[in-house]
Amino acid sequence: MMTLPRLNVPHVTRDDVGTGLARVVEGIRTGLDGPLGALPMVAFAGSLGLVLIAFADTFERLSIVGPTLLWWTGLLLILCPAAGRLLLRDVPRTERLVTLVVMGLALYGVKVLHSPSSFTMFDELHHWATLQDITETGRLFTPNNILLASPYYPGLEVVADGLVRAGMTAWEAGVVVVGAARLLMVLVLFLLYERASGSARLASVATLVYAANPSFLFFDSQFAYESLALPLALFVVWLVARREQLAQPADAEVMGSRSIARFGLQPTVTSRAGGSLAVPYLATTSSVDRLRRALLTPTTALASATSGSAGSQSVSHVSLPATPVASRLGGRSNSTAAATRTSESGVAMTICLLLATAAVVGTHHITSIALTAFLVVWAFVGIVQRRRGGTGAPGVAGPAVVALVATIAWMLYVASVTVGYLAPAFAGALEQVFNLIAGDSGGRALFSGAAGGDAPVWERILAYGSVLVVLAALPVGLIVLWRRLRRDALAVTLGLTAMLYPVTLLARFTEQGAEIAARSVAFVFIGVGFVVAIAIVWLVDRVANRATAARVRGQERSGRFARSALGLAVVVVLVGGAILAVPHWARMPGSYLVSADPRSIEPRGIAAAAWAARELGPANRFLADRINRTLLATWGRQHALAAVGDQVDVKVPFLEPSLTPRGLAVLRRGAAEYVLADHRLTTSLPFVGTYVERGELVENGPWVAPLPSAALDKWESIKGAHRVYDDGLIRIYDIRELTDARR
Amino acid sequence: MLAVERGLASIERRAGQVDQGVLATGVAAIVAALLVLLGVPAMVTSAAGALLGLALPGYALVRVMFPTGRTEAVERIALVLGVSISVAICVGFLLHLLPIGLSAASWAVALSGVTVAGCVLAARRDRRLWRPGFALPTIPALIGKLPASQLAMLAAAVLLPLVAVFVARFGEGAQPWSGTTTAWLVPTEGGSAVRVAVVNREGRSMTYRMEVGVDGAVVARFDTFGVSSGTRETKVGLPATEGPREVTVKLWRVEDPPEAVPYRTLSVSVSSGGDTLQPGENPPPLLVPPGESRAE
Repeated sequence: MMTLPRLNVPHVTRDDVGTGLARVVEGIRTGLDGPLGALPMVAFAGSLGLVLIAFADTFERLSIVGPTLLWWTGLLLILCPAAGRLLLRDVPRTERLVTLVVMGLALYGVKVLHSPSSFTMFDELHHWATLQDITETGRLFTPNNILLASPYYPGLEVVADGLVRAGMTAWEAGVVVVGAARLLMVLVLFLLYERASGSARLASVATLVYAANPSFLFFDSQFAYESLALPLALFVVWLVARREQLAQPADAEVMGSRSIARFGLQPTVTSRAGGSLAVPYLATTSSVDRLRRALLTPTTALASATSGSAGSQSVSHVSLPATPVASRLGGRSNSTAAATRTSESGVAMTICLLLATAAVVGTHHITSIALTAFLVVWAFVGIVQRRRGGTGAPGVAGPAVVALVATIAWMLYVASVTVGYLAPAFAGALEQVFNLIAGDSGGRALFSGAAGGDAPVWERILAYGSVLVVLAALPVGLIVLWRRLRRDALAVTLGLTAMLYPVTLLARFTEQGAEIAARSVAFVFIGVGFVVAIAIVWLVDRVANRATAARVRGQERSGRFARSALGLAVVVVLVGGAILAVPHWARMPGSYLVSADPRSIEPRGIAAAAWAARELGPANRFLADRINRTLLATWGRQHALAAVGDQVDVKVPFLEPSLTPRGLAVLRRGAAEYVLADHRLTTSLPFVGTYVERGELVENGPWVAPLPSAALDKWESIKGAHRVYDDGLIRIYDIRELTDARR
Repeated sequence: MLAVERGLASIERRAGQVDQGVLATGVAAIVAALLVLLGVPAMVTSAAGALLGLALPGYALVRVMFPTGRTEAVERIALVLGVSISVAICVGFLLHLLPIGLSAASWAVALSGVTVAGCVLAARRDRRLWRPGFALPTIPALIGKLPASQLAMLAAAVLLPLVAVFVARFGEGAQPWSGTTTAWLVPTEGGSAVRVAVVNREGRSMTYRMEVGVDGAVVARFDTFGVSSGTRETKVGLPATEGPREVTVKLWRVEDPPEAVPYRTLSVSVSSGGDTLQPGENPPPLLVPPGESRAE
């Protein structure tokens, strides 16, 4: 009988495991003790997450098993340590801010790793075409038929053009510009929320919740106008808020001091010097002056704060470090000089405001409309508050009028094409929403791919869960906001913005509304982030207070379950946002899929487009499907016919099984010279729902079978159509003889 | 001589009163603009362009507009970024309106001009008000205070994204694509000949045979030719006839039987007359020599 060799395994006792764990915990604790707190750990985890995501992307490309698990692990490594740290109470302001910057840039890295050397997102290619036009001509406003509005809102491309001319490739310039915009966005969001709430902790949680909006991960990370315009719009809003602050009496310079007092959450505004003050944890409106005095005179803070209780409420003292501004104000003696400086800064803010407003108006239509709407509502809320005896927001009306006039003037005199471009989409969406409410039409099925690739069940559960958590948190946050911040016009406006969220959810159930809902979520979440953060922080503090009170009474109540539930809810919101960001098949790069935007951009299509540029010269008029149209317009520098841009119904000659007189008339009206027929289209349903353009869905409903081969084979038998390029799947036909479009 | 010395001393004194940050920004803007204009290696000009487009104008203007230090560090970073981007967009629109348009030179001059103007104004204000400018965080001092574990984690946090980009790019390059042979056909300028090319992207060496016909008659036959990878291209002259002619190209893989359907078929209508070959004349014997094939 054979005996197995004995393995010399060291005996491990429970004590050894305990010691090992203790060492790990001790190591983590030591890591937190440094001057940067948990920041190095959070940054390390985020970077490690990016490496895992890079491996996941590579595994998916090479068809190696396990990319999904790796990808989600990587994303959780980016999100969870940062979220955990930001939810804690005693984290310095600077650490919160840098943690948010690290997280924001790491999430941007997820998109960069998805397409690490060229543009692959559908919208990116459209904007690349505009950038190419600017770079080639040295002029703006060259028409771009595949995205009509883009040349008339060229802010993003203008900045990128500067970098391209300095030596960067278009892709590098795009990554740098959008990266800078992402950095600006995180900083400004934090500052804006901090201004509205007076709490760095709440501001950091609100920015974290904002990052859970489905547009943050991919859509607003791509080289497209909204990715730059949205940060600039937030910059404008923050400038208005900051200018408002400067216009108030000198002691109001202390950032959000009134809000801190009203809101009553733990304020964690931290000085650079790290000095701290003690203030009532549950401060009430009556403690405003005391709190201001405390902030302005750090040395007397403790006595001031503890000398009186905050009404009848129990008071627990927490650390509130002094703001640098407060320290400076405390030491200021010359009030005239201070007033002059306030005036100077106000003028400076106004100049910045005008510059940034002009930049937003020239960068993106929807964002400039959203910015204008936000400022108008904010001004209106201020007027209402002033009529009720409050201070309101008197300085908002001016910027609101400037934004309104600039937006309308730009649309009418420069980008008039936008009205015709946006109006039908909004009108259609509204009509469908009303029909849905009236029961005249059925809803759109969620999470079901047009090509049959439904999202996994666990993803659906988490996505629904995230929406439910947000919906549940909104009323709580709104009630707390109303009780504590209703005198702050900015906070109220953010609350009103959040209330639009359920409406966008309703629009998701309609075909035309779904896209508008998806696009609007980045704007609506500015309010949602704030309100949900109020709810989260309020609940976390409530749990902590109850536990403290129970301990005082000698009862055992750790609140661990409630804290865990809250933590889980935050993770669900974050993960749900990532699930809703893109369809599961587009989350990672990989093999070719039919009409699947980034998954359809691959060397074969690029080679055909590049051949057209090289051998046919630029600006030949092509008929092609939506993916090859973008490739021809960018890599090929061709004029690929588009329904909206060229006012021809391109789907008719492309999709019909034989060329009818109607199809021929369309080709002739569009002066088509070449047709690109990609035979891979016949192998599957289109993943985004359409092969050529959105009109297919409107006229014929969703595709139930792949495109018939006859639609592409017909060119073989048409007299006057000559196959000049053939790679076995992609064929290019010269149809100039057919359409009389010979040059 | 005395005047020059006095002038130099004055400059030295004035420079001493200018905040170092402002001085450095002005100098950096000029150097960056020169680098872009001189067209030194792209890596250097790219960095210079990024500074010029996304940081320096904002820094200079923020120094002019917020001289009293009433903004904190985070606000200043946001202002620098936001103002820089806004200025770049507005400058771009302005350049479009000028005859020079958007070019490397106009960008470099405009943005460095804005920056230098901002720096001059900031320096003038500095001299008038005289107080120190805002200090940058002392990162080296901070690093010195960090425990080894934090330092190691920070170093890894900086390096790992580079590893991630490397892995992602490797994956992109290694992604398998289905191999294929591409054939294309275009008439030359004037229509006296056609250019025919075969592009081998099969991932292995291929051998083909090909026929070129005009209005149904074969005018050129290429019995066997190999393409290891990349493109092989040739020009085939067309017989001189009046009216449009239909040129067809049929390509087979060498392993295909003679009666097989061609692997690739192309055609083109050539409308103007050619004169290089008469019907029945011998076509060129083979495509371009192997040495002239170009890699895709």
